[in-house]
Amino acid sequence: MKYAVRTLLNSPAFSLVAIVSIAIGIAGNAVIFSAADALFLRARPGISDPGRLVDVGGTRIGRALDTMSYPNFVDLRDRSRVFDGIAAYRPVAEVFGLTINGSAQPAYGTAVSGNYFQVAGVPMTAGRAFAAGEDRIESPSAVIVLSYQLWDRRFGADPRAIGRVVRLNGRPFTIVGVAASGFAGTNVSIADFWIPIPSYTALMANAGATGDELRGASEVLNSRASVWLVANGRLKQGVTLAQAKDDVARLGRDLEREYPEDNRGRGIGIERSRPVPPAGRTPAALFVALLFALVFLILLIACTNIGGMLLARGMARAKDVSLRMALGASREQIVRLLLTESLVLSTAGALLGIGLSLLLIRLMSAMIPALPLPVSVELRLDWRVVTFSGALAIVTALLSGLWPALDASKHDLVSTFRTDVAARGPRRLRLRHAFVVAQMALSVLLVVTALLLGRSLHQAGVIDPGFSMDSVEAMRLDLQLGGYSDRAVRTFHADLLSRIAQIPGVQSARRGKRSTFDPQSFRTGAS
Amino acid sequence: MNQPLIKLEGVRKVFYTDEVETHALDNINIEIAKGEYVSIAGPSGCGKSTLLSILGLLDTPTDGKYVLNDRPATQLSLSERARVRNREVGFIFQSFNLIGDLTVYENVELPLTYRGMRSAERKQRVTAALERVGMAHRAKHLPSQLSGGQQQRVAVARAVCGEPSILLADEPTGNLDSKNGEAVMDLLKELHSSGATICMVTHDARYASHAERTIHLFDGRVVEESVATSSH
Repeated sequence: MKYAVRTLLNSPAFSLVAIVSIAIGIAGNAVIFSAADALFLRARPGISDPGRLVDVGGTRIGRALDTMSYPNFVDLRDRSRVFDGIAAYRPVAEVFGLTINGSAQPAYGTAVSGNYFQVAGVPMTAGRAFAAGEDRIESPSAVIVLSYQLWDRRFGADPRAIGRVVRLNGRPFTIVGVAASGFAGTNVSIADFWIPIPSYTALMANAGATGDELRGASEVLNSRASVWLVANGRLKQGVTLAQAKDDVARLGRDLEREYPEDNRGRGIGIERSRPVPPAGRTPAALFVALLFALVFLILLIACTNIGGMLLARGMARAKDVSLRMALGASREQIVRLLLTESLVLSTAGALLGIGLSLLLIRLMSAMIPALPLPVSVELRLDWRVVTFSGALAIVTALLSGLWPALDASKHDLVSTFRTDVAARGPRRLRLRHAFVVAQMALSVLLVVTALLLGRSLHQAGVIDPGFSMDSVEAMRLDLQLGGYSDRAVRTFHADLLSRIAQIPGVQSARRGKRSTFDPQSFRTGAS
Repeated sequence: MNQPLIKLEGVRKVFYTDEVETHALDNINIEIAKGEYVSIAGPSGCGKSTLLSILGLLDTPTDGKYVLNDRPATQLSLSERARVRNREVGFIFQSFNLIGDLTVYENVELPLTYRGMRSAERKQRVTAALERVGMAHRAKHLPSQLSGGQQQRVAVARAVCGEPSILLADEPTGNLDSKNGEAVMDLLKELHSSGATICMVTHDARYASHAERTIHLFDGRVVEESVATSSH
């Protein structure tokens, strides 16, 4: 090792180029791994004993884990034998109008079953979690648990917030608790608050302006055909994932048999809990895999580049290698020596790459809050990323150093006695050519992939939607967030459209419930 | 003659290229006894270095038998040959062949490292070998900081520190001026006096005469053997 370091220090230009090449390759991979870590591996903050937490959802033949109906969840909760507890929730937080002290602001919230916090093992910073009975369909309670972040932001972390009434989309809800600091949900979709599922359905059913009318739970809670929830289950101590899978699959078959009309072809599945919601896992995994392929290609190019340089260096050191073998070094000892140099280079490259990835992660983390999505993908450099980078350094050392090392160890020992050992014949030239060809091929592949990706993005931006988008202005209004009744909304829109149409230059103004490119929003357009 | 340390019987070496077949050695029969000092002389291209390569297990004969220290050496595997080279043979090269990135101490230590010897024993042997050739005071220097003569003395120290059965020297004075050349020859003679077996290739008759016996090669064949009548 000492010799390897000294040898590399004696060739600073070679070492620098090799280390920087490796650093770039490893940094890219470390950043993408960090994203994969945040999306698939690392448990969300605030959850106790995440290893026992699983995601439970509906399944259909040939499809990934997805949502399930509320009645199926209730049956699963009541009949399953493998969970300490199982809690349902909406997998993606939705925007609500949250009014505090007369000031309404958009806030992201999600509907959960009453035992959500107990199952996730999330303690309360203030107040309490939902109590038993607060999520009963027949008597839903208008109660709300705030995230620590919202409590801090809107109430200055004042404990007297507990018991106060806020308005969600105009309906009164009583704050009963504040979740532990850092907890924003069991997946990447972050929530500012949580409300019981029956209260949520009543709210979304637009039940009316008074709290009493929240009691009118919507039909969705009784329909097995409406699949809109996923669940977190906490496995009992000693229960394996395989046992749990068998148990819920059996329950799924029972429910299909008992309710064939709504459950035909549907089952219940289970997976280790991951930050990405079940339905988003496949596309997210494909996207991450694509990114991995690209950055690994860059690392491969770096490896072939370094491999070529090591080969050339091996030619220059042919006499040293021959001499060592003449003095009794075995082929293994020579390969080990040369691989140690590759490993030193890769380790130095990995260290620099980790530093570089830290910068990239900070840059990307600064960009994520700008996304118009309530998601939290916390990129960071943890032990997993460092371990991954270390493993990558070993792979890099082997990829770039093994071939040249094996080649160098095949030296003709007779050359030790000669002074003209530079010429090593066509075999070595072929090897150098192979490295150059591989490097060129990988570079071309990378360039072509990058061009295709760029072209696809450009095409997506200029795609013809089938109608003219020239001189069209769109705006978004969600009056429900302000607690407007349906009648008031209709009146408002009619008045707004009439007044927009009177503006000089406006040819027409239209209102739509959903715009072409935004399937979730209510929109009003004018052109 | 004492019991032979080296015995070659009917050794041939043929180099094959695409169209040409070169007979480098033909029917070589040589014996070298323990403690003997033999020189191999002959003009350029007569096969001296090829013979030395075979003796040093750097190359294999095309035909014939080679017995080193009572052990057939022709059919050894690559790893066995490396092991035998490391323990039985000490090389002294014309161009010194010290590794530029290693200090004098590390260069001398190298063959012992490959032997897997413990650090304390290595240190003892390297120090002794450097003192023997008068280079102990330069142990921490790099080869580039030494003169040619000094480098060759370090190479001699490297060759002897493992206490090999035989020292093979390939034109050890070839890159030295006459003064340093004589100094190296004196060193070899001193080693021989203390019991070392030496086989030296040289085309210089003056240096060949330092040996007890000279084997003359021509066109890959032994054409003459002469025994020195007096010592220098």
